[in-house]
Amino acid sequence: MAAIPSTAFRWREPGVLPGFGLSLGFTVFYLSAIVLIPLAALLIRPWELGWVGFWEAVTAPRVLASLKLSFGGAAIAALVNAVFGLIVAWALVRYRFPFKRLVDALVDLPFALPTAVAGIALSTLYAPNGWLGAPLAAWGLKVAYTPLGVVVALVFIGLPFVVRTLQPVISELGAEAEEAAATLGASRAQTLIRVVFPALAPALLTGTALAFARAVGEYGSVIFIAGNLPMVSEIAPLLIVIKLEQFDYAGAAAIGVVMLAASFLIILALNLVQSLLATRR
Amino acid sequence: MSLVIDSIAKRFASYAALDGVSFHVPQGAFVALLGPSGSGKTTLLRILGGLEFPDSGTVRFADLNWLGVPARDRRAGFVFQHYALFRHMTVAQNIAFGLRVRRWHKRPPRAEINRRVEELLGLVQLDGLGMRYPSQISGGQQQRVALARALAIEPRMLLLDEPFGALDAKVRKELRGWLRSLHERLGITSIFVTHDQEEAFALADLVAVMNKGRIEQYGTPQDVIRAPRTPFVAEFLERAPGAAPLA
Repeated sequence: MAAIPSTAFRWREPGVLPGFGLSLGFTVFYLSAIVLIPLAALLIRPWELGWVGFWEAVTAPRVLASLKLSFGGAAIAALVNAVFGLIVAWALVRYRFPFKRLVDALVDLPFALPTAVAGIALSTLYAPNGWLGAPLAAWGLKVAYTPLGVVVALVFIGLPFVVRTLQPVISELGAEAEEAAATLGASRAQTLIRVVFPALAPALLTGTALAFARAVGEYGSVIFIAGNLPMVSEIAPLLIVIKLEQFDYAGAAAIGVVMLAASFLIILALNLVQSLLATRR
Repeated sequence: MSLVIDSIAKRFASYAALDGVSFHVPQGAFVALLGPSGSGKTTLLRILGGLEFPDSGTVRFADLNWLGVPARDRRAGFVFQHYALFRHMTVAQNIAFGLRVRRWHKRPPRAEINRRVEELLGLVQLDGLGMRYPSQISGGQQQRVALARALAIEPRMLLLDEPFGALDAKVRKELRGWLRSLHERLGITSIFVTHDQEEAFALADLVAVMNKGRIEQYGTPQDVIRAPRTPFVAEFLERAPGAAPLA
């Protein structure tokens, strides 16, 4: 007699969409090959130093300073991009102006440009004798070869993430909700704060998280403008490269693990907030 | 507080949306703007709501130069075709919106707002659904939330753009009877846009048949049905599938 496992755990609900086993299998295999196995190797590597060695490797003052710059700079750059990316996306969707298509295409340049090219261009521009650097230096503001330069480079590479995440949401938003708010007596400011901004918040958070994640790991564009002074303007990815060049593989992996864990936790937290915002609609 | 619309004209880039529209709506009347799509009826409604501005012509309402009043100060309750509910707010928050955004000296206290929201939920027969989000209720219910939200501001006139357009036939008929009785109870001057003549004749005190930015005929449903004044009106009435004229 065959038992009927009516309430037993099942891998999936029966459904009409075919290919569940195949696509799940492929997803697991693919993620393993591309993401999990390399990361696992990274996780294993630093322990040849032992607990104490690991701790000493990641709490060395130079390492801590570089981690602080990488995460702090990425956070500042992501916030700057959140504000100005929102404005750029809004203008690109809502208004018509000359050369709009061209401006729209420009937004993608940081995606496409080799990061080293961007870095060299930015450092030439912001160097004390550069087009922007000279007037800024006259004001007493040094950008290139300082932590500020790092932030400038990270803002540059992060902008498209915010703009491209927000654009479809803004155009889907339509004008109707705003018109409804106006007929109900809301001022323009009230409409923006109470109607428009809450509707954009989840997408803005996602775009900012992406810009942040990209900025934490950015290497190519930063090293040209940063000046790479240890303890001052040296980013963590560069320190990893330096350690690799000195054959300190375990030390490099230790920094990598810390960056991995911190990035993962921050992105996880942002995703939780994002899904909390999104379930309400 | 009658509404006098005089020679309203509005051109969009290539065509005239409204081409000299004039009519008079008595206080408390329920008027249908009836016509095929592109006849200018929604444009006219949006002008009355302050969302669009005519190139020429005047509108007087309650002895005000109505076109000189900004949308936010008109207190014209507008119900959008696709409801335009605020999706991140609950039903109750949607309804309370118009009260919460009032200038502070006109804003009712919180308890009073809550009481009004409950009252309006009862009026539109949605008791107990205040905590839901718009995505969690049906289309017919969303429609009634949109109406309650417009009524919350104690509107001086009610403007409805294809109020039943997105609903299925059965819900549409139910809501229609309910809206008519609500209008009789509240007595707010109301104008609604429709392309469905059965709906127009069943609901309205007065029907304005529109075509190509002009009013072809304006009168009671009986008059329009018995004596179509232009060939367009006669043809438009004939074309209607299943519309049993009252005559």
